[in-house]
Amino acid sequence: MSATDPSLRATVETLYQEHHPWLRGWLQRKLGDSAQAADLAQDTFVRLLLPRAVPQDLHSPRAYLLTIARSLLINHWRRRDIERACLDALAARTAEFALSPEDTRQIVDTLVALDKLLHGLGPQVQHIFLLSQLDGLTYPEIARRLGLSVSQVQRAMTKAIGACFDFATRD
Amino acid sequence: MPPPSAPGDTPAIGDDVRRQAIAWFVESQSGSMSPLRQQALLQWRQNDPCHEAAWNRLASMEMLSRGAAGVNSALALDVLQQAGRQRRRTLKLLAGAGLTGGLLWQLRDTWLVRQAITDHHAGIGERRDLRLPDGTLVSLNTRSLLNVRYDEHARRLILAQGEIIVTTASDPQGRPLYVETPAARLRPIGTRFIVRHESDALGTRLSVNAGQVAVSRPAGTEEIIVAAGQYTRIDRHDIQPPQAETGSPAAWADGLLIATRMRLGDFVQELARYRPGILRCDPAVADLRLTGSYPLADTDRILAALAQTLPVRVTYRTRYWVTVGALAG
Repeated sequence: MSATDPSLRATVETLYQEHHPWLRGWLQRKLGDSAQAADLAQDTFVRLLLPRAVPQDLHSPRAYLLTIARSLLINHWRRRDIERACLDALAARTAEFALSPEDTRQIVDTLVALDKLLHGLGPQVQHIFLLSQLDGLTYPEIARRLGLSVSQVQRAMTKAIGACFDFATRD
Repeated sequence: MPPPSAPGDTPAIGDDVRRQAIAWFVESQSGSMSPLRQQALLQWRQNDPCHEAAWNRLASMEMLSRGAAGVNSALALDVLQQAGRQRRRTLKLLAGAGLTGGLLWQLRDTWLVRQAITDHHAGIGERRDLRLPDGTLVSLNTRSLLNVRYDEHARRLILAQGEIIVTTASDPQGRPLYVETPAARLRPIGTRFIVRHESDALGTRLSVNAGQVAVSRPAGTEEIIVAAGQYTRIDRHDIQPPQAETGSPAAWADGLLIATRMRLGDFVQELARYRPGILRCDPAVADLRLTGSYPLADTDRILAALAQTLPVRVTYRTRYWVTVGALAG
């Protein structure tokens, strides 16, 4: 079913009218910034439009909205941490061109996504995945660099790609 | 090029297929897959729609790490470790607020969210053909998002972002057809045309291939007619008077990027639309001109060709962070 199902739209509109000011207030208390609170509140409702986002029987809309808003808050803070770490790391490296804000945003986006994707995998599996997917090294090259056998590299990649698959599947 | 597709028709994927897809993907990334095995992979994908669906799921993840613009493993490890130390502190901020189930929503970045709430999309480097219920044909170019809204009064194609070629069919029910972008409303009159809207700053570009298109602002009543062989640009402020089209704006439908004495800077910018990551051109060489017809299927090969025909050097900082600069010395 496409996300633009009219009954879903109607449900989300009703939720929006009844709970938006309250949710925005809650977020503002957490964030202490009204523009960011408005963005995250908006985002919370946009998520409801994703396929299967709204359960059939929604007994407690506010608890449900809070669940989403909380995870967005975590993402928001997490992104801020990564952004800081990233700006530090980039400043420490010499770039042949200055990066535009758009480039920087893209890099931060990527790192945020990688952070989520690799979270929960061991450091060695992470390292192998990054060498393969970001640097484009072959498995024998990775094996040589890390002092491992090719089949160890292959096993680690299977683990990482399995995590990717499950990540892409869950919603 | 994928066949015409409808949204939401993903088959369920079982454990076996999951395992096979992962094994194939791991092998495909090894750097030493033989042509024979590549052929076998292709065969496996074609054997069953479930196989193809499972494969696409991983291919889209690959696209994500290729979005990896300018990020190499050293930078990623640095940043992720540094930020990892902050994780506990961040979670503490929420303690007491009852942390359950929330992590479900991770990795839904803007593009993924927008994609999920849009009827049709084409990812980076993808092209997709749609045949709509009335027989109208739409081709989506790279990075495009399109909504289709047909009701009893009108047929509306809403291009949120990207580029489409529309070949109209006449409607048995006589409903008018509109193509809408954030900047413009287009009313085709029996025609084929190309609409491109990448950002609100650049506005919408319309190029008419056959027939005519009537153009107005989203809320405007005043219409300007653009005829075959002409193009115009519509932005927040005005609709440019139609001019003769000199480029080949529909070449992508044939998988080509065609340049006729094109500035290298413009060419590189155009090429970047089809590649994940960052692709930049040093201003020092941006004014060089080039002419040629380049197959979009392999953008790395196009970059290599540039270095052979022009006095430039192509530098890969990472796989997805590439700069075209002057030759050293």
